[in-house]
Amino acid sequence: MDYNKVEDISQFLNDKRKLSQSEIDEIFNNDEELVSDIIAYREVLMRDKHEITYDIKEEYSRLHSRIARQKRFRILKQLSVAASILLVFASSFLVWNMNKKQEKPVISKVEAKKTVESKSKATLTLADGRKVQLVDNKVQISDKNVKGIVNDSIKGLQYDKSIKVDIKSDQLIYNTLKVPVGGEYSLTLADGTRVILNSDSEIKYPIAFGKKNRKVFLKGEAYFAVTHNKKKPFIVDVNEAEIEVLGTEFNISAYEDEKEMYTTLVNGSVRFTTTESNESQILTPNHQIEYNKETKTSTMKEVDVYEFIAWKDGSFVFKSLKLEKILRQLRRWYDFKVVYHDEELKDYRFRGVISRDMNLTEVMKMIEESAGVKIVVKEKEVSIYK
Amino acid sequence: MTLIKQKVNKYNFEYFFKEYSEELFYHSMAIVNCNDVAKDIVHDSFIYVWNKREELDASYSLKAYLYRLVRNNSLNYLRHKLVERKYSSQIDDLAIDLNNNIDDKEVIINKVQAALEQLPPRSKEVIEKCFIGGMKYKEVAEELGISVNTVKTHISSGLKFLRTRITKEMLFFFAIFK
Repeated sequence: MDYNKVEDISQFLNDKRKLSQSEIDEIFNNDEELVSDIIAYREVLMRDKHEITYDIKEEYSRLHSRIARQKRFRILKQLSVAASILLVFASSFLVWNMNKKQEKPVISKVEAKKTVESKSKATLTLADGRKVQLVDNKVQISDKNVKGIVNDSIKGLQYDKSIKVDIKSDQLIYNTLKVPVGGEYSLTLADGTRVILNSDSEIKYPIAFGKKNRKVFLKGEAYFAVTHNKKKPFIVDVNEAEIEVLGTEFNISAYEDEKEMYTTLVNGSVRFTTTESNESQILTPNHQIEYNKETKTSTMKEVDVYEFIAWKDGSFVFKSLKLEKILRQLRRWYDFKVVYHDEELKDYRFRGVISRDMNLTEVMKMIEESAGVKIVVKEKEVSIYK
Repeated sequence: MTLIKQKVNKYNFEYFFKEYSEELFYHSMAIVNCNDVAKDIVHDSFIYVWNKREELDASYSLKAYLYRLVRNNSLNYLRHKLVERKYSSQIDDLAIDLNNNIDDKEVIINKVQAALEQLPPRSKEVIEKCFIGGMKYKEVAEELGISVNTVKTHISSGLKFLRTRITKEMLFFFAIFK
């Protein structure tokens, strides 16, 4: 071992010594292994150093701005090029280029538009039992002579806070919003709370809240952005448990056909109480409570919330999830039946990100490649082979 | 372990950045030793992937690709101390061997970490002072109250030991692409 070389390289890597270009070239050509090893140790040691930090959120914002600026610059460039060509050609050139390249990546906290416009056939059941099909247009819905329910194609269903209902003691008037398989719907409750309902889900809520609290009933999955009101706690009842909330953003996944129920907190504070034991747990941001309906036990853990709320921005995110669970989730959006030709396959794991605007065949191809299985898609039936 | 094979789009771009950027940053830092340069190299690599997202097909591993971009650009910077970074056109030609499971990079980092842990504490100290402190052997010897020869012995054992831990497959991550 040439110790002098090691010292020189170390010093060079640490900016403590300048080397001439020919010295640098010599090192790169002859001492590849040595440089690599020193770099490897450096990487491991640097991760522990507190002076070296990386703020992912901040860096992403910077990156996003750069990409946005790049987009504007491109348009300018195209305009200047176009100006020197005949007007007739110029317009078609611009139109042709205003394609995917001009896109910007989506920042998850911004409310994204529904990616698949046609998939939003939700049903609203009014207090008197009448069922209204919610179609994408601005419609006023009247229920028990109550005015102020509006269905908007972009904002979803909205309940005006001015709704005055003749409430005799605790007689609340309930509506139920049901979203079928393959659908998704947004709703604004009378207190301003925003709810995004995922596929195959249902929420029952009063059109105007009572005096004690704000209680809603959920089956399936929804993302809530609850407005602050200390005097009236917001409570989500999911049969097995109650989730009490104070001005907060969180996601609840409580599908009946799933063994586990997940409550994931993005920000704010939430109290989780099981009906069974009446025991309470308080959730803090970036944490999740997983409740097993069979064993009736709950576990709290720190999670990457994006994995659990990506659905509302149009993506499915799976971090090493069993194929069986993944397909159950996908089934709610794509509407298909699964046939496993080997029980073992249900336990295969897959990691990936699937955007909701991919079609079923594309998705299955991706899973096929990544999980190492063979998938055949025939109409609405998906068969999995080894 | 499975590879994440995914075409980059506007919905998953942020996710990938949040998943991989920190790791890529530390890797670049280990090479270029400058916060700003490392951050920019990571950014440039993601922007490159963003701009080329339609052309990059979904059968590659995004992480492996980013890793190559970052490493190449970092080594280029180091070798030429370039202020203006150019993307190596070699990237397009490099056939990424899909048998190299880049998700195992974490495993490799752990192995290097384990190698460090297994060294006697003195060796680790010496390695730290030289490799990330950039101290001369004489300076380390003085500070720790040992002889220069002892310092050299620690360095030597540290480097030799590491090579016993890194198998051939892992050389993929340690290669200096020419």
